[in-house]
Amino acid sequence: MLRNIRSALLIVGLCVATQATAQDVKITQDMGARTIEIAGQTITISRVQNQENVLTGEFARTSRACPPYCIEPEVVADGVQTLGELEVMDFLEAKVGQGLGILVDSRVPAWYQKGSVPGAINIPDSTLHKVNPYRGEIMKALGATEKDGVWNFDGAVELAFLTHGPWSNEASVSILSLLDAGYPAEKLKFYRGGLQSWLMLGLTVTAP
Amino acid sequence: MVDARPHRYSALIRPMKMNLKDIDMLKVLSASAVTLLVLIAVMLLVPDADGTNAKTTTVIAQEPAPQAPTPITAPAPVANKPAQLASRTAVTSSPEAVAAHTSQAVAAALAEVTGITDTVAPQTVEKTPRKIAPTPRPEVAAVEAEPQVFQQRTNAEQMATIVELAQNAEGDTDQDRVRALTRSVLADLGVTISDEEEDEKEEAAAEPAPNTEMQDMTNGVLASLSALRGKPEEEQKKGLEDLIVQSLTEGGEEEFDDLLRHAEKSGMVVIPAEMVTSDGRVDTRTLLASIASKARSENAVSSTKVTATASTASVSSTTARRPDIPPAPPLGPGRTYRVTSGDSLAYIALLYYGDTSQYTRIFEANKDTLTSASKIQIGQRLVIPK
Repeated sequence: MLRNIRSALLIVGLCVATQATAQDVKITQDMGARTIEIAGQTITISRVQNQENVLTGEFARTSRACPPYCIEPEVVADGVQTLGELEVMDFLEAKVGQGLGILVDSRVPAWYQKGSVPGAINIPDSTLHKVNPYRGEIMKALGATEKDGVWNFDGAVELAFLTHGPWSNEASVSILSLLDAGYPAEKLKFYRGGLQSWLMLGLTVTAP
Repeated sequence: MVDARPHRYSALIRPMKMNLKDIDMLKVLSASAVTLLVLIAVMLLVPDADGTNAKTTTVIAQEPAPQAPTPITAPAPVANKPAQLASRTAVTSSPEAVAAHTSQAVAAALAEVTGITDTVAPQTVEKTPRKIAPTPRPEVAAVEAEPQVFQQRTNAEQMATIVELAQNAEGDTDQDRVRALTRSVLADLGVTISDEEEDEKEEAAAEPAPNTEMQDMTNGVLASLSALRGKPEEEQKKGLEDLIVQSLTEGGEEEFDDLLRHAEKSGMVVIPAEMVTSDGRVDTRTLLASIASKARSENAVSSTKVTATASTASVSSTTARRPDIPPAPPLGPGRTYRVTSGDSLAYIALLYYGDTSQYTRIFEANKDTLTSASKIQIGQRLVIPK
């Protein structure tokens, strides 16, 4: 009972604190939060307002064994644009919000479930690899069509990929798999910073 | 409440308290279980040493329960097609895109049905060897010469051939042909259903046992994609497809029209407005002619396998003009066309642009006189934009 009261007080206190400092940490000088409508749902992206906040746990780790966790290049392939956080938000609004694009979290489902960039959907990199006998279904759901083994991507949506961070290759593996399948490079984007950068900037993360 | 606690905790803690004896017992038990399993496995393997065992495993891999709850099932035999169709993921794409994409499947399907297989690119035939058993392997050289034959046929003849072949259909194999044709007809109607799934299933069958984890993951992806991009209208597509299969198998052009009309009235299907004639019937003539012209235009393309779709589309639109479609009637002053009995907007688009999907241009140009693409009147003058 005592504990409940204490946690309730803590929550109230936190809310008050957040309100008091609501706009101290903006996304850009002119933008405190960004509200985007996607498939009938409104998502809001803002930043953690607590200026003492630091990352802990997996996303604070500096070193992992390489391979497999190696540093990714800035440009993953010719013609594939690399995005920063603001461009990811632009992509969400201009493409995902309009049904013209999809923000893809390439990590395994377990990680995606823990939280991702708002509006991202989970397409694990392995499902886009050519060894997945069902890959075609996904490509069709992305708007590609196939006749006699030849894929047509005229109606295919634009895709922006992200993964754990610049130290993990799921996003670039996905991009290379799709390029290999013929997906046009100009329809593929690479958010190299991934979850790591997103969290590092205190941006909103949502769990599905 | 208080009483229950000790029970709950003791249940949780008990396994940890397992003493040495218990562990030993477990070891013995598991060891004997393993031995038993090995024995069973050996007994099963020995009689099959001549290779039949390998076959058995393949069959198992190919035959998942057709009623499996997951949208995607492991590779299934052709007989399961309806189930596959039901589970097919639909693709949203613009009419133009559909027009550009359909050509290859249309070519393959029509060639199968009409028997003019040697106008089809080699890879198409290779993929369906069990369907067209007696067909000799086509020579690439024949590709150039063959379209002539096709051009000389009238629409009515084509229809007759298709219906005849459909009527002569025996067993699943021919049903498959009709189904393949139907799929391409549907594709022309703006409903994208491709043959690709089947091919993939075959490929998958050749590979080691399908990965259920991959299936699950793929299903997860598809579910979230459909949540984001809207649900495919599976029921409607399947209904329309089945209807066309039925009518092509059982009857001729009129029955086809009647059946479709009836289905539309009862709300089962939607007939695209541009395919409705000035007489209020379904324009099967244009439907088939456009398929035929696409089939031909595809020959030109398919000999060189093109991945770049832009070039496919441009080749199609130029070669599609070569008619089995009658030459377009002269245009009136100011480029107008007078609607006659049996015309549909799609037909007029086919006449002047060589592509049924171009009906939108005509519709746009006549918006002030046309309330709907299906409402063209006999005698009406339509502006044909350049």
